Amino acid sequence: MADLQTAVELTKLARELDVPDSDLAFLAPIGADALRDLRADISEAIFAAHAPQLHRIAALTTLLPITLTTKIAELAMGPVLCAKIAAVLEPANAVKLAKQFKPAFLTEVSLNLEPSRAAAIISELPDALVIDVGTRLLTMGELITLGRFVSFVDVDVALGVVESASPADLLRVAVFTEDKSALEAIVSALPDETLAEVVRVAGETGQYDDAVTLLEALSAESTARLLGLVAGISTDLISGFVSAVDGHDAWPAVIAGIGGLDSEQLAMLANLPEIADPALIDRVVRHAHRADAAPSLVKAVLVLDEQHLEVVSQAPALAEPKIKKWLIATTGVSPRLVKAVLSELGV
Amino acid sequence: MNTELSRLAERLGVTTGRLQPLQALAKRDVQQLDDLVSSTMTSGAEAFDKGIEEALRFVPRPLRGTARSLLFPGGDRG
Repeated sequence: MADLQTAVELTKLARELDVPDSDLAFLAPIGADALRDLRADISEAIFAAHAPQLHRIAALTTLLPITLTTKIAELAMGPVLCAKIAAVLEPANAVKLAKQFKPAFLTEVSLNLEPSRAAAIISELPDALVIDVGTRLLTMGELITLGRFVSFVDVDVALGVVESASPADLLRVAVFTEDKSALEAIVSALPDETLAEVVRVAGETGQYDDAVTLLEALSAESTARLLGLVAGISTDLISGFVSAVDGHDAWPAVIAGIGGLDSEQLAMLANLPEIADPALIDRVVRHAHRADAAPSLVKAVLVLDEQHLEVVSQAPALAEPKIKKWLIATTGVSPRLVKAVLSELGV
Repeated sequence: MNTELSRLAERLGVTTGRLQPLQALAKRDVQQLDDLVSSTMTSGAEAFDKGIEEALRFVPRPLRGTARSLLFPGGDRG
Protein backbone atom coordinates (compact mmCIF):
# COMPACT_ATOMS: atom_id res chain seq x y z
CA MET A 1 0.00 0.00 0.00
CA ALA A 2 2.94 2.25 0.74
CA ASP A 3 3.67 2.79 -2.95
CA LEU A 4 0.25 4.37 -3.55
CA GLN A 5 0.48 6.68 -0.58
CA THR A 6 4.02 7.57 -1.59
CA ALA A 7 2.82 8.56 -5.06
CA VAL A 8 0.14 10.78 -3.52
CA GLU A 9 2.66 12.46 -1.21
CA LEU A 10 5.11 12.97 -4.07
CA THR A 11 2.38 14.72 -6.03
CA LYS A 12 1.63 17.03 -3.10
CA LEU A 13 5.30 17.87 -2.57
CA ALA A 14 5.73 18.54 -6.29
CA ARG A 15 2.87 21.04 -6.01
CA GLU A 16 4.62 22.75 -3.10
CA LEU A 17 7.84 23.07 -5.09
CA ASP A 18 6.06 23.86 -8.37
CA VAL A 19 7.77 21.07 -10.29
CA PRO A 20 6.47 18.04 -12.20
CA ASP A 21 5.98 14.89 -10.09
CA SER A 22 8.64 13.14 -12.12
CA ASP A 23 11.28 15.59 -10.87
CA LEU A 24 10.85 14.19 -7.37
CA ALA A 25 10.85 10.48 -8.26
CA PHE A 26 14.21 10.14 -6.53
CA LEU A 27 12.46 10.77 -3.19
CA ALA A 28 10.13 7.76 -3.49
CA PRO A 29 12.40 5.41 -1.48
CA ILE A 30 11.91 7.38 1.73
CA GLY A 31 8.22 6.43 1.86
CA ALA A 32 4.93 8.22 2.46
CA ASP A 33 5.32 9.10 6.15
CA ALA A 34 8.76 10.65 5.70
CA LEU A 35 7.53 12.50 2.60
CA ARG A 36 4.60 13.93 4.56
CA ASP A 37 6.97 15.21 7.26
CA LEU A 38 9.36 16.56 4.64
CA ARG A 39 6.56 18.44 2.88
CA ALA A 40 5.47 19.98 6.18
CA ASP A 41 9.05 21.11 6.91
CA ILE A 42 9.53 22.52 3.41
CA SER A 43 6.18 24.32 3.48
CA GLU A 44 7.00 25.82 6.87
CA ALA A 45 10.48 26.90 5.75
CA ILE A 46 9.20 28.56 2.59
CA PHE A 47 6.51 30.31 4.61
CA ALA A 48 9.02 31.44 7.25
CA ALA A 49 11.40 32.75 4.59
CA HIS A 50 8.74 35.23 3.46
CA ALA A 51 7.25 35.95 6.88
CA PRO A 52 8.62 39.52 7.27
CA GLN A 53 7.22 40.57 3.87
CA LEU A 54 3.93 38.83 4.60
CA HIS A 55 3.43 40.66 7.87
CA ARG A 56 4.22 44.02 6.28
CA ILE A 57 1.69 43.45 3.53
CA ALA A 58 -0.86 42.29 6.10
CA ALA A 59 -0.30 45.54 8.01
CA LEU A 60 -0.82 47.51 4.80
CA THR A 61 -4.25 45.95 4.31
CA THR A 62 -5.40 47.45 7.61
CA LEU A 63 -4.55 50.97 6.33
CA LEU A 64 -6.57 50.78 3.14
CA PRO A 65 -10.29 50.52 2.38
CA ILE A 66 -11.35 46.98 1.57
CA THR A 67 -12.32 47.79 -2.01
CA LEU A 68 -8.80 49.09 -2.67
CA THR A 69 -7.22 46.14 -0.90
CA THR A 70 -9.28 43.82 -3.08
CA LYS A 71 -8.12 45.65 -6.20
CA ILE A 72 -4.46 45.47 -5.10
CA ALA A 73 -4.82 41.80 -4.27
CA GLU A 74 -6.37 40.87 -7.60
CA LEU A 75 -4.33 43.15 -9.86
CA ALA A 76 -0.98 43.61 -8.14
CA MET A 77 -0.38 40.66 -5.86
CA GLY A 78 -2.04 37.84 -7.73
CA PRO A 79 -3.35 34.56 -6.34
CA VAL A 80 -0.03 32.99 -5.32
CA LEU A 81 1.01 35.86 -3.05
CA CYS A 82 -2.53 36.36 -1.78
CA ALA A 83 -2.63 32.74 -0.68
CA LYS A 84 0.50 33.26 1.39
CA ILE A 85 -0.68 36.60 2.78
CA ALA A 86 -4.02 35.08 3.84
CA ALA A 87 -2.21 32.96 6.38
CA VAL A 88 -1.04 36.01 8.35
CA LEU A 89 -4.15 38.16 8.09
CA GLU A 90 -6.58 38.41 10.97
CA PRO A 91 -9.18 35.76 10.04
CA ALA A 92 -12.02 38.29 10.23
CA ASN A 93 -10.21 40.60 7.77
CA ALA A 94 -9.33 37.70 5.52
CA VAL A 95 -12.95 36.56 5.43
CA LYS A 96 -14.11 40.09 4.50
CA LEU A 97 -11.53 40.19 1.74
CA ALA A 98 -12.36 36.70 0.47
CA LYS A 99 -16.02 37.65 0.16
CA GLN A 100 -15.00 40.59 -2.04
CA PHE A 101 -12.89 38.52 -4.42
CA LYS A 102 -14.32 37.29 -7.68
CA PRO A 103 -15.00 33.53 -7.27
CA ALA A 104 -12.59 32.75 -10.11
CA PHE A 105 -9.79 34.64 -8.32
CA LEU A 106 -10.63 33.02 -4.98
CA THR A 107 -10.40 29.65 -6.72
CA GLU A 108 -6.90 30.54 -7.94
CA VAL A 109 -5.99 31.62 -4.40
CA SER A 110 -7.22 28.33 -2.98
CA LEU A 111 -4.94 26.44 -5.35
CA ASN A 112 -1.97 28.01 -3.58
CA LEU A 113 -3.33 28.08 -0.06
CA GLU A 114 -2.01 25.84 2.68
CA PRO A 115 -5.37 24.73 4.14
CA SER A 116 -4.00 24.10 7.61
CA ARG A 117 -2.92 27.75 7.86
CA ALA A 118 -6.25 29.03 6.60
CA ALA A 119 -8.59 26.79 8.62
CA ALA A 120 -9.96 29.72 10.64
CA ILE A 121 -10.78 31.57 7.42
CA ILE A 122 -12.32 28.64 5.58
CA SER A 123 -14.61 27.83 8.48
CA GLU A 124 -16.06 31.37 8.44
CA LEU A 125 -16.73 31.60 4.71
CA PRO A 126 -20.33 31.19 3.53
CA ASP A 127 -21.08 27.57 2.55
CA ALA A 128 -22.34 28.67 -0.86
CA LEU A 129 -19.04 30.41 -1.61
CA VAL A 130 -16.98 27.39 -0.54
CA ILE A 131 -19.16 25.09 -2.65
CA ASP A 132 -18.79 27.46 -5.61
CA VAL A 133 -14.99 27.46 -5.30
CA GLY A 134 -14.91 23.71 -4.72
CA THR A 135 -17.02 23.09 -7.81
CA ARG A 136 -14.70 25.29 -9.85
CA LEU A 137 -11.71 23.30 -8.58
CA LEU A 138 -13.51 20.15 -9.61
CA THR A 139 -14.12 21.53 -13.09
CA MET A 140 -10.44 22.45 -13.34
CA GLY A 141 -9.46 18.92 -12.34
CA GLU A 142 -7.70 20.22 -9.22
CA LEU A 143 -8.45 17.11 -7.24
CA ILE A 144 -5.38 17.32 -5.02
CA THR A 145 -6.44 20.75 -3.79
CA LEU A 146 -9.98 19.52 -3.19
CA GLY A 147 -8.70 16.51 -1.29
CA ARG A 148 -6.64 18.77 0.95
CA PHE A 149 -9.56 21.11 1.67
CA VAL A 150 -12.03 18.37 2.47
CA SER A 151 -10.53 18.10 5.95
CA PHE A 152 -11.32 21.74 6.70
CA VAL A 153 -14.94 22.05 5.64
CA ASP A 154 -18.17 20.65 7.05
CA VAL A 155 -19.35 17.33 5.66
CA ASP A 156 -22.43 19.01 4.16
CA VAL A 157 -20.23 21.49 2.31
CA ALA A 158 -17.95 18.72 1.08
CA LEU A 159 -20.98 16.77 -0.12
CA GLY A 160 -22.23 19.90 -1.86
CA VAL A 161 -19.00 19.95 -3.86
CA VAL A 162 -18.66 16.26 -4.63
CA GLU A 163 -22.28 15.79 -5.65
CA SER A 164 -21.34 17.18 -9.06
CA ALA A 165 -18.17 15.05 -9.29
CA SER A 166 -17.91 12.12 -11.66
CA PRO A 167 -17.37 8.77 -9.90
CA ALA A 168 -13.76 8.71 -11.11
CA ASP A 169 -13.08 12.22 -9.77
CA LEU A 170 -14.80 11.41 -6.51
CA LEU A 171 -12.48 8.47 -6.03
CA ARG A 172 -9.39 10.60 -6.76
CA VAL A 173 -10.52 13.29 -4.30
CA ALA A 174 -10.94 10.56 -1.70
CA VAL A 175 -7.42 9.30 -2.36
CA PHE A 176 -6.00 12.81 -1.91
CA THR A 177 -7.97 13.54 1.27
CA GLU A 178 -5.45 14.02 4.06
CA ASP A 179 -7.72 13.71 7.06
CA LYS A 180 -9.03 10.16 7.08
CA SER A 181 -11.73 10.97 9.65
CA ALA A 182 -13.12 13.58 7.24
CA LEU A 183 -13.04 11.02 4.44
CA GLU A 184 -14.84 8.52 6.64
CA ALA A 185 -17.55 11.08 7.42
CA ILE A 186 -18.07 11.86 3.73
CA VAL A 187 -18.13 8.22 2.63
CA SER A 188 -20.62 7.47 5.40
CA ALA A 189 -22.87 10.25 4.11
CA LEU A 190 -22.72 9.15 0.47
CA PRO A 191 -25.68 7.07 -0.69
CA ASP A 192 -25.10 3.45 -1.71
CA GLU A 193 -25.90 4.26 -5.33
CA THR A 194 -23.12 6.87 -5.52
CA LEU A 195 -20.58 4.65 -3.82
CA ALA A 196 -21.59 1.69 -5.99
CA GLU A 197 -21.07 3.85 -9.07
CA VAL A 198 -17.61 4.81 -7.81
CA VAL A 199 -16.75 1.12 -7.38
CA ARG A 200 -18.15 0.17 -10.79
CA VAL A 201 -16.33 2.96 -12.62
CA ALA A 202 -13.12 2.17 -10.73
CA GLY A 203 -13.39 -1.34 -12.14
CA GLU A 204 -14.25 -0.23 -15.66
CA THR A 205 -11.44 2.33 -15.81
CA GLY A 206 -8.85 0.24 -14.02
CA GLN A 207 -8.64 2.57 -11.00
CA TYR A 208 -8.19 -0.45 -8.78
CA ASP A 209 -5.22 1.06 -6.98
CA ASP A 210 -7.25 4.11 -6.01
CA ALA A 211 -10.10 1.91 -4.82
CA VAL A 212 -7.68 -0.06 -2.66
CA THR A 213 -6.25 3.17 -1.25
CA LEU A 214 -9.76 4.24 -0.30
CA LEU A 215 -10.47 0.85 1.23
CA GLU A 216 -7.41 1.10 3.44
CA ALA A 217 -8.39 4.55 4.71
CA LEU A 218 -11.84 3.57 5.92
CA SER A 219 -13.19 2.14 9.15
CA ALA A 220 -14.10 -1.55 9.33
CA GLU A 221 -17.78 -0.61 9.00
CA SER A 222 -17.28 1.46 5.86
CA THR A 223 -14.87 -1.13 4.47
CA ALA A 224 -17.59 -3.75 4.82
CA ARG A 225 -20.04 -1.45 3.05
CA LEU A 226 -17.58 -0.87 0.22
CA LEU A 227 -16.74 -4.58 -0.07
CA GLY A 228 -20.45 -5.36 -0.18
CA LEU A 229 -20.80 -2.99 -3.11
CA VAL A 230 -17.74 -4.51 -4.79
CA ALA A 231 -19.45 -7.92 -4.48
CA GLY A 232 -22.35 -6.49 -6.44
CA ILE A 233 -20.40 -5.59 -9.57
CA SER A 234 -19.60 -7.97 -12.40
CA THR A 235 -17.20 -10.81 -11.68
CA ASP A 236 -14.64 -9.58 -14.20
CA LEU A 237 -14.38 -6.26 -12.41
CA ILE A 238 -14.21 -7.87 -8.96
CA SER A 239 -11.30 -10.01 -10.13
CA GLY A 240 -9.28 -6.92 -10.94
CA PHE A 241 -10.09 -5.51 -7.56
CA VAL A 242 -8.97 -8.67 -5.76
CA SER A 243 -5.73 -8.68 -7.75
CA ALA A 244 -5.09 -5.09 -6.68
CA VAL A 245 -5.77 -5.93 -3.04
CA ASP A 246 -3.32 -8.81 -3.24
CA GLY A 247 -0.76 -6.83 -5.24
CA HIS A 248 -0.75 -4.08 -2.63
CA ASP A 249 -1.05 -6.53 0.25
CA ALA A 250 -4.15 -4.73 1.50
CA TRP A 251 -5.59 -7.86 3.12
CA PRO A 252 -5.63 -6.36 6.64
CA ALA A 253 -8.25 -3.84 5.47
CA VAL A 254 -10.32 -6.56 3.80
CA ILE A 255 -10.11 -8.83 6.83
CA ALA A 256 -11.32 -5.94 9.02
CA GLY A 257 -14.38 -5.59 6.80
CA ILE A 258 -15.33 -9.27 6.61
CA GLY A 259 -17.31 -9.12 9.84
CA GLY A 260 -19.77 -6.65 8.28
CA LEU A 261 -20.45 -8.67 5.11
CA ASP A 262 -23.41 -10.99 4.72
CA SER A 263 -22.79 -14.58 3.62
CA GLU A 264 -23.88 -13.96 0.04
CA GLN A 265 -21.55 -10.99 -0.43
CA LEU A 266 -18.68 -12.82 1.23
CA ALA A 267 -19.23 -15.94 -0.88
CA MET A 268 -19.18 -13.83 -4.04
CA LEU A 269 -15.78 -12.41 -3.11
CA ALA A 270 -14.21 -15.45 -1.48
CA ASN A 271 -15.01 -17.88 -4.30
CA LEU A 272 -13.44 -15.87 -7.08
CA PRO A 273 -10.95 -17.82 -9.21
CA GLU A 274 -8.13 -15.49 -8.08
CA ILE A 275 -8.64 -16.57 -4.46
CA ALA A 276 -8.01 -20.23 -5.33
CA ASP A 277 -4.28 -19.83 -4.83
CA PRO A 278 -2.54 -21.47 -1.86
CA ALA A 279 0.04 -18.68 -1.65
CA LEU A 280 -2.69 -16.02 -1.54
CA ILE A 281 -4.67 -17.96 1.08
CA ASP A 282 -1.46 -18.30 3.05
CA ARG A 283 -0.97 -14.52 3.05
CA VAL A 284 -4.57 -13.97 4.15
CA VAL A 285 -4.25 -16.47 7.00
CA ARG A 286 -1.03 -14.87 8.23
CA HIS A 287 -2.58 -11.39 8.13
CA ALA A 288 -5.62 -12.68 10.03
CA HIS A 289 -3.28 -14.19 12.59
CA ARG A 290 -1.39 -10.91 13.01
CA ALA A 291 -4.70 -9.03 13.35
CA ASP A 292 -6.04 -11.70 15.74
CA ALA A 293 -9.09 -11.99 13.48
CA ALA A 294 -9.85 -15.70 13.67
CA PRO A 295 -13.65 -15.21 13.61
CA SER A 296 -13.38 -13.35 10.28
CA LEU A 297 -11.20 -16.09 8.85
CA VAL A 298 -13.64 -18.79 9.92
CA LYS A 299 -16.56 -16.80 8.53
CA ALA A 300 -14.79 -16.68 5.16
CA VAL A 301 -13.92 -20.40 5.19
CA LEU A 302 -17.54 -21.30 5.90
CA VAL A 303 -18.72 -19.77 2.60
CA LEU A 304 -16.04 -21.36 0.39
CA ASP A 305 -16.99 -23.82 -2.31
CA GLU A 306 -15.36 -27.24 -2.65
CA GLN A 307 -12.66 -26.06 -5.02
CA HIS A 308 -11.59 -23.28 -2.68
CA LEU A 309 -11.76 -25.50 0.40
CA GLU A 310 -9.34 -27.82 -1.35
CA VAL A 311 -6.93 -24.91 -1.82
CA VAL A 312 -7.24 -23.77 1.79
CA SER A 313 -5.82 -27.09 2.96
CA GLN A 314 -2.69 -26.37 0.91
CA ALA A 315 -1.89 -23.09 2.67
CA PRO A 316 1.36 -23.67 4.61
CA ALA A 317 0.31 -21.31 7.41
CA LEU A 318 -2.50 -23.63 8.48
CA ALA A 319 -0.01 -26.41 9.10
CA GLU A 320 1.94 -24.33 11.59
CA PRO A 321 1.24 -25.37 15.21
CA LYS A 322 1.10 -21.81 16.54
CA ILE A 323 -1.52 -20.81 13.96
CA LYS A 324 -3.56 -23.98 14.51
CA LYS A 325 -3.43 -23.36 18.26
CA TRP A 326 -4.51 -19.76 17.73
CA LEU A 327 -7.43 -20.79 15.51
CA ILE A 328 -8.62 -23.39 17.99
CA ALA A 329 -8.44 -20.93 20.88
CA THR A 330 -9.85 -17.75 19.37
CA THR A 331 -12.49 -18.49 16.75
CA GLY A 332 -15.27 -18.10 19.30
CA VAL A 333 -16.71 -21.57 18.63
CA SER A 334 -16.11 -24.88 20.33
CA PRO A 335 -12.44 -26.01 20.04
CA ARG A 336 -13.69 -29.51 19.21
CA LEU A 337 -15.62 -28.12 16.29
CA VAL A 338 -12.62 -26.19 15.00
CA LYS A 339 -10.40 -29.26 15.31
CA ALA A 340 -12.98 -31.27 13.41
CA VAL A 341 -13.15 -28.68 10.65
CA LEU A 342 -9.36 -28.51 10.37
CA SER A 343 -9.24 -32.28 10.25
CA GLU A 344 -11.91 -32.34 7.58
CA LEU A 345 -9.90 -29.85 5.57
CA GLY A 346 -6.91 -32.17 5.82
CA VAL A 347 -4.88 -29.67 7.82
CA MET B 1 25.99 13.29 8.55
CA ASN B 2 26.85 14.47 5.04
CA THR B 3 27.32 18.09 4.01
CA GLU B 4 24.36 18.10 1.65
CA LEU B 5 21.99 16.97 4.37
CA SER B 6 23.36 19.54 6.82
CA ARG B 7 22.87 22.27 4.23
CA LEU B 8 19.27 21.23 3.58
CA ALA B 9 18.56 21.01 7.32
CA GLU B 10 19.93 24.52 7.77
CA ARG B 11 17.81 25.83 4.91
CA LEU B 12 14.67 24.23 6.36
CA GLY B 13 15.48 25.30 9.91
CA VAL B 14 15.30 21.76 11.24
CA THR B 15 17.78 19.41 12.88
CA THR B 16 19.65 16.93 10.72
CA GLY B 17 18.01 14.24 12.84
CA ARG B 18 14.65 15.36 11.51
CA LEU B 19 15.89 14.57 7.99
CA GLN B 20 17.20 11.16 8.96
CA PRO B 21 15.04 9.36 6.32
CA LEU B 22 16.92 11.27 3.61
CA GLN B 23 20.18 9.60 4.64
CA ALA B 24 19.10 6.66 2.51
CA LEU B 25 19.36 8.87 -0.58
CA ALA B 26 22.43 9.54 -2.68
CA LYS B 27 24.21 12.81 -1.87
CA ARG B 28 23.40 14.18 -5.31
CA ASP B 29 19.68 13.57 -4.66
CA VAL B 30 19.79 15.50 -1.38
CA GLN B 31 21.65 18.25 -3.22
CA GLN B 32 18.96 18.26 -5.91
CA LEU B 33 16.23 18.60 -3.30
CA ASP B 34 18.10 21.43 -1.61
CA ASP B 35 18.43 23.17 -4.98
CA LEU B 36 14.69 22.86 -5.58
CA VAL B 37 13.83 24.29 -2.17
CA SER B 38 16.31 27.11 -2.65
CA SER B 39 14.92 27.87 -6.08
CA THR B 40 11.34 27.93 -4.74
CA MET B 41 12.35 30.32 -1.96
CA THR B 42 14.18 32.60 -4.37
CA SER B 43 11.39 32.75 -6.91
CA GLY B 44 8.91 33.35 -4.10
CA ALA B 45 10.98 36.27 -2.77
CA GLU B 46 11.21 37.77 -6.26
CA ALA B 47 7.47 37.44 -6.70
CA PHE B 48 6.90 39.22 -3.39
CA ASP B 49 9.21 42.09 -4.32
CA LYS B 50 7.45 42.48 -7.65
CA GLY B 51 4.00 42.23 -6.04
CA ILE B 52 4.85 44.86 -3.43
CA GLU B 53 6.16 47.27 -6.08
CA GLU B 54 2.98 46.73 -8.07
CA ALA B 55 0.82 47.20 -4.99
CA LEU B 56 2.36 50.60 -4.29
CA ARG B 57 1.16 51.85 -7.67
CA PHE B 58 -2.42 51.31 -6.53
CA VAL B 59 -2.05 53.05 -3.18
CA PRO B 60 -3.46 56.62 -3.28
CA ARG B 61 -0.71 59.25 -3.37
CA PRO B 62 -1.42 60.66 0.14
CA LEU B 63 -0.93 57.19 1.65
CA ARG B 64 1.95 56.11 -0.55
CA GLY B 65 4.72 57.37 1.75
CA THR B 66 3.23 55.59 4.74
CA ALA B 67 2.70 52.46 2.71
CA ARG B 68 6.26 52.57 1.39
CA SER B 69 7.77 52.93 4.85
CA LEU B 70 5.56 50.08 6.06
CA LEU B 71 6.55 47.77 3.23
CA PHE B 72 10.22 48.77 3.18
CA PRO B 73 11.03 49.61 6.80
CA GLY B 74 14.76 49.81 6.07
CA GLY B 75 14.12 52.25 3.26
CA ASP B 76 16.16 50.01 1.02
CA ARG B 77 13.62 49.72 -1.78
CA GLY B 78 11.38 51.86 -3.85
